[in-house]
Amino acid sequence: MTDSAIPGWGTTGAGPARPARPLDPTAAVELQDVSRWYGNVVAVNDISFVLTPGITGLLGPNGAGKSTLLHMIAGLLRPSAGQVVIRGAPAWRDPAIYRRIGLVPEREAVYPFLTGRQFALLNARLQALPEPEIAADRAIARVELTDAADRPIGTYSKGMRQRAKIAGALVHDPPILLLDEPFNGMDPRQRLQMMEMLREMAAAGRTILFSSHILEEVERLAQNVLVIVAGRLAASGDFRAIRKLMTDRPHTFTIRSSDDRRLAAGLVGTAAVYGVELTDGRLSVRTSDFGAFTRALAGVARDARLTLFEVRPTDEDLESVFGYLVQR
Amino acid sequence: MTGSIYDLGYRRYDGPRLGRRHAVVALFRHSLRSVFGIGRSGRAKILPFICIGLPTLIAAILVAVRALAGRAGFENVQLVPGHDGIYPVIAVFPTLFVAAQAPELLGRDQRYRTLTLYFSRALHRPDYAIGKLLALSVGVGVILILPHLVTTIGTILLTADTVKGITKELGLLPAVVGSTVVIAVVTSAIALAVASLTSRRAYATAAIFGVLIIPDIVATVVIGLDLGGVSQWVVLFDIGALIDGANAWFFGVITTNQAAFGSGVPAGILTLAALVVGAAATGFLVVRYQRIAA
Amino acid sequence: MIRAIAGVTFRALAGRRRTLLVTLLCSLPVLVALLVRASGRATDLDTVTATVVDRLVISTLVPLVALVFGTSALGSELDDGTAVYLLAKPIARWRIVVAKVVVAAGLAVIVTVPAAFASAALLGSGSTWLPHALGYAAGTAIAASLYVMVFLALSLVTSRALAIGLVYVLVWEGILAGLFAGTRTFSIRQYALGVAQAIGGPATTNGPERLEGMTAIALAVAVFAIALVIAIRRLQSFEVGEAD
Repeated sequence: MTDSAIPGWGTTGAGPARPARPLDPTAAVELQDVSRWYGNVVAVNDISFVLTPGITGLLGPNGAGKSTLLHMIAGLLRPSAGQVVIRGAPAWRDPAIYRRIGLVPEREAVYPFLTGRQFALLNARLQALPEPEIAADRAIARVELTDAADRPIGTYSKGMRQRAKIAGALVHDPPILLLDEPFNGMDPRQRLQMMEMLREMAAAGRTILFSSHILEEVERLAQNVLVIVAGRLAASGDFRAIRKLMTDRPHTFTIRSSDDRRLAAGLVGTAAVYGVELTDGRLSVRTSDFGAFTRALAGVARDARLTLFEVRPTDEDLESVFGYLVQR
Repeated sequence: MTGSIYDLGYRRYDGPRLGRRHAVVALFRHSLRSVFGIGRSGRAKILPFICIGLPTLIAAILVAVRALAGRAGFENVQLVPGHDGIYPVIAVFPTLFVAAQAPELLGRDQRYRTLTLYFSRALHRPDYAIGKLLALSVGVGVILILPHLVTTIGTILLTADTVKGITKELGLLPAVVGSTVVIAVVTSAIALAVASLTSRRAYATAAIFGVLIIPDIVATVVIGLDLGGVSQWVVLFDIGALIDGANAWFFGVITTNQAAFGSGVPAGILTLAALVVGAAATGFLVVRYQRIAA
Repeated sequence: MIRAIAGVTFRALAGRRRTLLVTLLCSLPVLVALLVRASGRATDLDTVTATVVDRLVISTLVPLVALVFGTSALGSELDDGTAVYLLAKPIARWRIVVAKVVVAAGLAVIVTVPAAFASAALLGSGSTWLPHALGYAAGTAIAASLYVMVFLALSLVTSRALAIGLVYVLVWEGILAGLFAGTRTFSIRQYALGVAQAIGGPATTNGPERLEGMTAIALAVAVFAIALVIAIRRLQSFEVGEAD
């Protein structure tokens, strides 16, 4: 399993000052202590990571700084501190990086008077590809837009427009693909197709970073995640490993049984439990140790001769993990 | 698990509703603020303040010129523009103001698709058009009235007999108010009618600028040819001449606009034509907002 | 590459309805000149020329057309976010600016110069029509490209380029130039009129005394270069904002 970390886990306050690390020249994308502020508002706060081939999901609630981070990686925004490095070279003020990068911006506006094919062709020409027509047609076919390719983009639906933008980013077959909220406006079928396409591209050794505020998308697509909350990197690494680290955080369960009051009395005596609450005929239990609690619960119920009807973790989805990280 | 709807304590609003009139007033106030760039960034205030400040400054300078010329004993002090002649001097500022602000007033709501939100409220579609027209008119009115105010103060102070000065100024009050209202409403109505045709700011601004300025140049040349017959009536398409004619009619002076003067068309008819054009533009604006896709 | 940028810029600026309107507008001075000649009643053709070409073409139509093309060519694409598709490409930013300027200035020249040439030619007499037409065509070409360059640079410096451009044209060049002759050193209109008169336009006493031909050209070139450098530098460090 790759190394995973939830920064600041188990420590209080700021960590010790980091020594300057040497850059990894083989890394597709590397961020070193990158911050960005607008006036006195900090949008991205001291973020470092290395992107490797495969799909990485950039996960965070709206306004967490995902777009700011993506724009800095794409060289369209100057980091206020730290640096973004693409294959050993700084991204800011270097148009040469765009030979390696395909960018799908979040904003919807695309030249409405161009057809999908013309838009892909424009991108191919701007990339100075030797055979722009062939590259454009290939990209159009890749995003399955062939049927609508000769209609003006102004007449496209949101999903089609999104695919036209992706086709434009794919024309030069970039080793690095950056997508800002790529699944917005797509219907479930289109979403599946797009996910399949991204998986294939990742399998071919590309580095793909996409942002999303929807857990389900990240969960289904990304091996690696970067969780960003309020401008700070809250977690990074292998998705499953992070998930496991998450399970060791305080949990809350809702329990229904034949006698909630007696069960509550029994649970209070258990070491893993640190809070019990009875409200509206619902028993909720807070525990700090997921494994120990689930083992103890069965014993307590048996000893008290109770029947458990329902044991439900109240906050098992990643959405509540967000909430937890935000509060921390 | 069974489905349920939780009572989160939301309550319907069942207090009194202020209704349509208040909605129009609210729209008017909001638009008036944005016309002056109040509540917007500092950069949005530059143009409104230039358009208010410079005409006032010019009026102050003219008063000062009259004072100095009078003391130096020049005979033709009356030639320095007063109430009757200030408008032609500052006319470019209302033009500049509406060319920049009318597209701002209408275009934003079209571009960001906020019209739907307005029309799903107590506001009726014509109310929107009228509210915007009132706001822009008041904006132009402020630009026009401040120089008059400065002139009035200057004149009273320049007159040795204060009572006589005040009486003289009071006598001009109907003309000042009348000309200001007519010029402000007609200019604003035309600008908004043009601006309602496109949501792209650059094109709307250029179009307003063109409509208010180009006909005057063309009419000046054509009327200068003195072709006789009906050709002098070209002046009726010259909005600049109509407005200048209206200003002259209110003050009972001769128009300084070349096309209006050259045409020989009486100021009363020019004033009437200005009102007709203003009414037509307002009607167009209202109809446009009846039909516009929100 | 530059051709691709130029192509998309051309299509963005020259929409069908828009081109028709601009063409109609620019045929106006020609129609007026035709009417003047047909009537045969103009006594002082040079004064009419000054009104039609100086006032209508160089002082009104040219800045108007340039204001639209100059602020739309790059500024409106940066506003609505489509410029990202040009910026995120392996193209030096100066090439993007140059392509945009060439197209926008070219369009402005194409629609305004024929109007200036034709109306000045129509209003000239037997011996003067050609020098008048050439002088005004040259002056208009300089004004159109310089206004576009300046407004394009302005649209990269501020989001209120349109308002500031209007103030410059109406207040600085319109009002102050009539009062303070010194403002002609910083007036695109005066560069154009200076060049027009130097090449063969009629000598008019309308407004401040004209700039010397060479002075006007030198100033125009200098202003163009400064605006170009500012525009390139602004685009090189342009930062894409948050989606709004």
